[in-house]
Amino acid sequence: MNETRSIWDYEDIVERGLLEDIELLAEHISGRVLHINATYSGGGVAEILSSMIPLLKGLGIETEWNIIRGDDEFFSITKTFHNVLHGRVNGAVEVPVAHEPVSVLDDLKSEIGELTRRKEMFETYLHWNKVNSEEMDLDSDFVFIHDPQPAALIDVKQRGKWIWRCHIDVSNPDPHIWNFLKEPISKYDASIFSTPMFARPDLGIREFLVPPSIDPLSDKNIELSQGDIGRVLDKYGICMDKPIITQVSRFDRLKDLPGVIDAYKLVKKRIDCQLILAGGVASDDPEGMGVYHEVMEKADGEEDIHVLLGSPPFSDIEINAFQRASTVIMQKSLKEGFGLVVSEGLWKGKPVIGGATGGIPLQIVNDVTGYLVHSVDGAAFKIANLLKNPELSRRLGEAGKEHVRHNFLITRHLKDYLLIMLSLENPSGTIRL
Amino acid sequence: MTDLTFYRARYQFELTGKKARDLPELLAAIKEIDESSIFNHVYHALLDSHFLPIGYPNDFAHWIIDALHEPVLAERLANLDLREFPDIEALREELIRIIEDYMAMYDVSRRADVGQEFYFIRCISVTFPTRHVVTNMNEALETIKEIDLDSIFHYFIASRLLGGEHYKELSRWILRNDSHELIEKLDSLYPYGFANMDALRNEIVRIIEGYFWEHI
Repeated sequence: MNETRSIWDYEDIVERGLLEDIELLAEHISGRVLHINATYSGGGVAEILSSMIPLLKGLGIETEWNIIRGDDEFFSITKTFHNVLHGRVNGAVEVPVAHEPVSVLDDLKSEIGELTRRKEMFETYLHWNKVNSEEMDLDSDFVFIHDPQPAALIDVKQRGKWIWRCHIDVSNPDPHIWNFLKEPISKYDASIFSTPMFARPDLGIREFLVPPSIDPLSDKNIELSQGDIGRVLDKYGICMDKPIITQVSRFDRLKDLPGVIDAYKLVKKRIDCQLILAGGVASDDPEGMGVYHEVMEKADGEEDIHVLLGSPPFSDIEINAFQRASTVIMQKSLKEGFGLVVSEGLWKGKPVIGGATGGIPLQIVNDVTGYLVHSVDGAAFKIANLLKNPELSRRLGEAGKEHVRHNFLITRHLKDYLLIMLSLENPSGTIRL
Repeated sequence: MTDLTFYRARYQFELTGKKARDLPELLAAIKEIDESSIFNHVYHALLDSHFLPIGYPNDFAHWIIDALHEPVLAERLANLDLREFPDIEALREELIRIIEDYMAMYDVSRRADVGQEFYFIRCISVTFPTRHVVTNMNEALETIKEIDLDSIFHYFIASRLLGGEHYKELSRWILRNDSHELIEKLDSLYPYGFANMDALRNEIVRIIEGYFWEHI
């Protein structure tokens, strides 16, 4: 990626002082910066790096972005890692499975099988990290390694400061997988987590806090004209003649789409409105299509519920248009990572109602930028309240936009990375440049 | 007259690895945590408050009501008069005294839910020169009117409390200009009683302008 972007493109969006400071801080960064993750497109990490790398380059910092390669087995294993590290956030609902009684011998066989399978997984993971380390130029002053997939590249570190940037919640991981990954991760100079809740106490290295961010100039967040919004809604047969409630999320049980429909139905009895549920199905989620069909069944016969399956995925402009057309935005997750889609909604000046889980409460300050809810009834009550009170919606939306402006934009993220690079070169608590 | 360069600060946050689920754990951590964590949890709201309304002015009070549901203690901590504390150690002692007094009188067995723990976070300050370089008090006054609120926070709160040099530099520079009375007035300014940084800036400007008016 050779594209560069000036931070002054954001002059009309964030305070000038922040941009001046970013320039000043960047002047003190010397050497090459390297970011490595697993993919150039798809997912939040790639989205952030797509915005971050051109800005770093625009500041005159020599920056590279590489991705690791591997075969299907490697990526299947790293997906498993992701699921078992990330999948137990906040005491996830894990339904115990009743097993038939088994003999001690069967038990032992099963355990040996599991150990063998795990050993093979670890070997494949390390093999592909080694292949990548031999192929990549890792000689940099600052190396940001994103998430577990490339974490073992640290084994060939020669020089520079290496930072493990963790975008997922590893606070309650599968202990076998975590103990395996902890060994390389503990060799880093520092780690970065999105919130304290997602971090681990046992790494023994510095742990910085950097929430993720959205790019207000990306297609997903840029201002759209009413004409642009109308064209997208026309394409999907949606008329803007009544208030729209929207949830943009994958068809995933943890997003509680049935709960959103139930809340909508309670509201619909009192206030005429419509519901958009727009999302895709993750290619590695075998349950996704099942959830989609369940949602379709639940919405059957309700002409004002628009269940939209993005296949191929919706464009960023389409997602942007759905959000901008909305009166109320929902993210009624039962379990969530950071849930940056909340910030996308807030940035568009919309009141957002979200489940009180994961990173959502950091974005929704209850009764200030939106509402945190714990039940279908709670969601219905708050939706109705917002539909009946446009002034309240406007006030929450404005506060939400300011909250995102100060806390969840790419410019703040960029500033944090610069500060961390400087902090690593000057370990004292007060650094004077 | 020598030049004075104005500095500003940006803060980066780092986990300390300490967290608390109940009052005894919170108290134990407050007793031993580094000063920059106490500073962060008590003072950062002063910087944030100019764009979001908040219920309680510091993280300890906020967590105690939100996660432990102890409104009496939360209100006591919210009502701290920060003007009374010349440094972080004095503030730490007062926090300890208030929490210990409360624990002696009430049952404090309540624990926060999983995911609602209090995480102690330190702040690292990175200070750097701005483009504002002044050679006399008039220019200094104009600069104080113009610089952003983070710089006001840095000079008149953070630098004073955390042993930073910048407030001392400013004081020495003013003293070199033979403005003893002015520096005495600024020294006696306790910045924590103001609603936000804008109000603090206005008071600083008022003091400096008042001084000049008296000495024309």
